[in-house]
Amino acid sequence: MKQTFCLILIFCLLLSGCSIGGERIKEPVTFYYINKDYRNDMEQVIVSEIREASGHRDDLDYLLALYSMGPANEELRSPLPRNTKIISMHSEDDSIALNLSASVLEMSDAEFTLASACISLTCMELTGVQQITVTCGDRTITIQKDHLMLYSQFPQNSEEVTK
Amino acid sequence: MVIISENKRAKYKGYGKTQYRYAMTYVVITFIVLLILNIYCSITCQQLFYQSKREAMIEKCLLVSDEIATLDVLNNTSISTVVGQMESLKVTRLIVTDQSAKVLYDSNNEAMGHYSLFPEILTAIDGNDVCSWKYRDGATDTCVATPIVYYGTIVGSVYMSEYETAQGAMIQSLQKTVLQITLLLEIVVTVFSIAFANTFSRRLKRIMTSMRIIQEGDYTHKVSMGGNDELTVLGNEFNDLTERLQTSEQKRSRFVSDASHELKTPLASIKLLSDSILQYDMDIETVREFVGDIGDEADRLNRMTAKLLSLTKAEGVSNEESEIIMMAPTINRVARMLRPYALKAQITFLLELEEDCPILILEDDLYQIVFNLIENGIKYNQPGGSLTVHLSREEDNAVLKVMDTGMGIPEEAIGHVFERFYRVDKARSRATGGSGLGLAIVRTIVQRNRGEIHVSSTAGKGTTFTVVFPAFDTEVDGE
Repeated sequence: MKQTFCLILIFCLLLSGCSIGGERIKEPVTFYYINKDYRNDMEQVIVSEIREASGHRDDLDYLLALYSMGPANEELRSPLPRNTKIISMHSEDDSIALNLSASVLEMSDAEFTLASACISLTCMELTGVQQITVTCGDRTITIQKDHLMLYSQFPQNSEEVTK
Repeated sequence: MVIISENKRAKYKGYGKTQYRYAMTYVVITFIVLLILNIYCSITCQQLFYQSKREAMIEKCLLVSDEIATLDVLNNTSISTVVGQMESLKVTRLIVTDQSAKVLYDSNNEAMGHYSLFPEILTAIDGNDVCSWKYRDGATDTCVATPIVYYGTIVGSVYMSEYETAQGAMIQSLQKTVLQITLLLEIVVTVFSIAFANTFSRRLKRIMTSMRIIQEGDYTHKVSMGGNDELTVLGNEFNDLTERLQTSEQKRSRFVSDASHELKTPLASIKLLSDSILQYDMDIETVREFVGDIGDEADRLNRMTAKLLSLTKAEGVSNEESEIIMMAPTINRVARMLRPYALKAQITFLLELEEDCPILILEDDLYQIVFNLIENGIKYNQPGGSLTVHLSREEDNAVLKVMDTGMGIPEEAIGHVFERFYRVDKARSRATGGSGLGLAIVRTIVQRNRGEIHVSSTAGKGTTFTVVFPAFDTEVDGE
């Protein structure tokens, strides 16, 4: 009796496990947002979130508008202030230039860098470009993929170690 | 040597599990406790190392940021000069950023001009001293960051990280030692648990073996437990129970033996008489005499069977249906019944009855007690003798005395008169139709009704039976 009950329970749990996460994402896109608690847990600041493109996989305008709406995950937050709009977007060769609305000017330098990093990583992921320039008024930042250090790593080489 | 049947072997097959259950319970409990202690020690040890490391690293970081804050211009050259002067830093990596997290100086020269978005750096730019610490694979990675404050304004941050294996190895060594001690303790606990469980189950097994021995019929067996705990008490109780069982069994055997002997005697007489009638030519008078004897033996058998039934009934009936009755009227009724019998035996019958003697009893029970005692007093009396029935109230008791002037009971027989089928004078008892059950019935009924019965006798002078019942006063006991 107990064995039968256990088997039924396991089967039910397996079934419920299959449905976790809801419907399957058909056209996944990766957005980058800020970890809300990075100051407390000292974990990675920028975290990715996978979203559904719904037939707009190649429509960058649509995807950035979707990005601006913020993350679905409650543990993440958008790097941009509310009502921030992407005024213009210009794509050229291997780079993209974005012009953001004036609300970004209220941010501190570090916050602006962080927001630009999130948008840049998202755009690089979506389009494959290597460089993003974000502009807002007289504030400009150019970010290349290799120029972002997101977390410190343990040294692989033992000579780097201080003993 | 105890032979256990296959069925019993199968029945008790799983009993050995108890000892393992006991042992495993101790092992599991201590394992959990030790595991918790182990984790606690490990975490505490790491915390201690972290605290000491944090203090030292933040101090170093603040020293660097204070030095950098004195610079007019923050660039790689100026910062390199300052850091170069501080030889005792000994960190794995030192990064200096401006307020936008752009790297101005990197001791590894890998991230110049890059943006360093470490949580420590971003928190420091917000104005906080911060330290994070990770312990992994026998190494510690400590990261600290402090803001660079220039005339009250945060102009950047200093980030230091230190990857250290020496401290990690020390933590690992400590954890290993604690783990070894834990395992050693667990082994010791396991061994002791098994030993304890074995000792415990051995004593239980002793009781179980004794039970089987007794089940096989050896009531003389006693279990010897030793010690001074609950099992010892259990063993003693078991021995007491066995003793009572033995006594009960002896009584039963004796009763069966006595009953069969007593019943066999009249049956043998009947058989002998009937055989005689069939085998020999007799005149009608002799046959009539023999048939009369057969009838007497049959009557005796009948009486004996009735008394046995009466005794069985007396032992089985509860006294829940008892009622408050006065003793005197019942005694008078019995006296009226037996007075002709006493007159026939030439015995003077005297009644000295006090009226106020209420007791709680079934009237039939009281009738039977009085009848048996008076009947015995007449049967075993001598012609010209007397029988006195005396009833009085003595404090809270009603006392009934039946005194005869018969031949008395020898001293050595007094202790046996209430036993079943015991007769002082067998020949006379049979001659008077006695079954040897009357007094046994009386004692059973008296005891069942919370009473006591005593006998005193002087050989050649007579016997006195004294029955004492608690008197029932309606006003006091009724409440």
